[in-house]
Amino acid sequence: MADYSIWVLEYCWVPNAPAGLITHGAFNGGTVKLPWCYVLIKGQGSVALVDVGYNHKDYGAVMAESFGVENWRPSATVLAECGVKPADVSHVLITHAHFDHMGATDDFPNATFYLQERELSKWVWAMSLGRRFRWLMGATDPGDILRAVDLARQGRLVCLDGDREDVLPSIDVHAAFDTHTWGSMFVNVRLDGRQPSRDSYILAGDLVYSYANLEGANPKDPQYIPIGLASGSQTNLLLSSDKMLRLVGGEARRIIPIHDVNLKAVFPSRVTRDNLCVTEICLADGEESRVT
Amino acid sequence: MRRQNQLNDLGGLPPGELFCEPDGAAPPDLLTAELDDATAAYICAAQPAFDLLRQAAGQLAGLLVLKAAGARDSGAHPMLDLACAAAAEARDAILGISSSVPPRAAHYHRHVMSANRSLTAALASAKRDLHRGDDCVLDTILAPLWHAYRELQCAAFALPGFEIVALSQGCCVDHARSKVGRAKNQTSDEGGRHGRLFDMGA
Repeated sequence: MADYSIWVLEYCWVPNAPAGLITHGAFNGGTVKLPWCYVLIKGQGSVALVDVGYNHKDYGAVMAESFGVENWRPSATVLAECGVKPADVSHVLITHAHFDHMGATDDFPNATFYLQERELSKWVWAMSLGRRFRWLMGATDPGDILRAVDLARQGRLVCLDGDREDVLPSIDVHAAFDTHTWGSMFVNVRLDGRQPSRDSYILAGDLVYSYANLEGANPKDPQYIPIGLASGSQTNLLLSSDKMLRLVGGEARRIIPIHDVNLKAVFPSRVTRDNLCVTEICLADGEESRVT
Repeated sequence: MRRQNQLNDLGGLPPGELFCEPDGAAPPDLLTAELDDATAAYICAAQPAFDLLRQAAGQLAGLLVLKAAGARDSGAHPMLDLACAAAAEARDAILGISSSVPPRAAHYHRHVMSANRSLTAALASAKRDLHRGDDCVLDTILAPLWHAYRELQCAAFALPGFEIVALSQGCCVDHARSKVGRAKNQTSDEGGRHGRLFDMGA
């Protein structure tokens, strides 16, 4: 029995992302289509999102013109495919503080946001290092920091200090410090409500872009391969992959890489009128399918 | 005081160049038309000041996050002095180019000066009040800081070569597309809106 329904919702894509960013080392591997998605978790009286996408109001034009982002659709349109409105969202779990994951916080006026405290404190630390270290602040937006201040003042920002069990009933967050970013985290949804679970799915954020990060090129002789960008360390990325895989009993399919263009072939899915993909990871009892 | 007065003096720039579109964006041709030499030189000279303002705004925002999250010593944090120093350096840099603003850069220049004024006000409030325990302290800092941030955004939309977020370092984007809008002789390593302005290798 599943207590939660989980959908991966595509809201735009990049047709030509470098393969070397998806799997470290594929520097001459050409380009791949990269869907940009967030995850909707619905059940037990809550509507939660894992990440919220980028701030299209401020950066939509430049993302489209200069960085190849195509077919963006607003959260109201994307969530409507699952019968949800942005105002229904009660909880948002931010896997990390890059602009394309926490830029659209303003879209969810009734949500409480959860973020690792270390992600904020290391931001502040990086900003104190001086101009020569500005690479560390790449992909972060001062506006996102200001919005975080506003959220904190409204009592809608919860700073986490490492792992937290049952941030929502049977939903845990696990810190993955010094990996893709300093304070990254992933989300474990335990559908059977048990601990340890035998029926859980992990929303990996940007710790894993593709199943290739978990299995390598040869499934008969799998190996971990890190993604192409780490503010922390590639070693820690591999260790976080291993931790995730252990939490799901070694079944890589239960780790959800939202950027993997092949995810739609692993789980039931459909293409919307806007030519975006809805992928249904699991359905709670009584919840209607959104892909059939 | 003299420096502040100089910053407030627009130096007789054409007033027609100084208005914003209703939605706050610059007239569209500012980003797409070909650059004249004077404007290109201005952009190269203005980039360090813009980066310093962005850096100082981010640093102060970071301190406010600490304050909002309950940190007790955010008012005495050494980063406040770093932010003040960056803003002062930016102000000097802006003053250094204020006497030779080409007409096409006037719109940008107006916004960046306004950003500098607001950021200076926010930093002064932070220096004075951030050590206090009450929550309303944040209001006096946040309002001018948000204004400074919005002015920087407007500035970034007013000329190519300036960006608030280093989108080119985004991990999931089509980096090759950032060459769009390149022109020759760029010296900046990270470009800006519409990607790098100039391409030394072209």
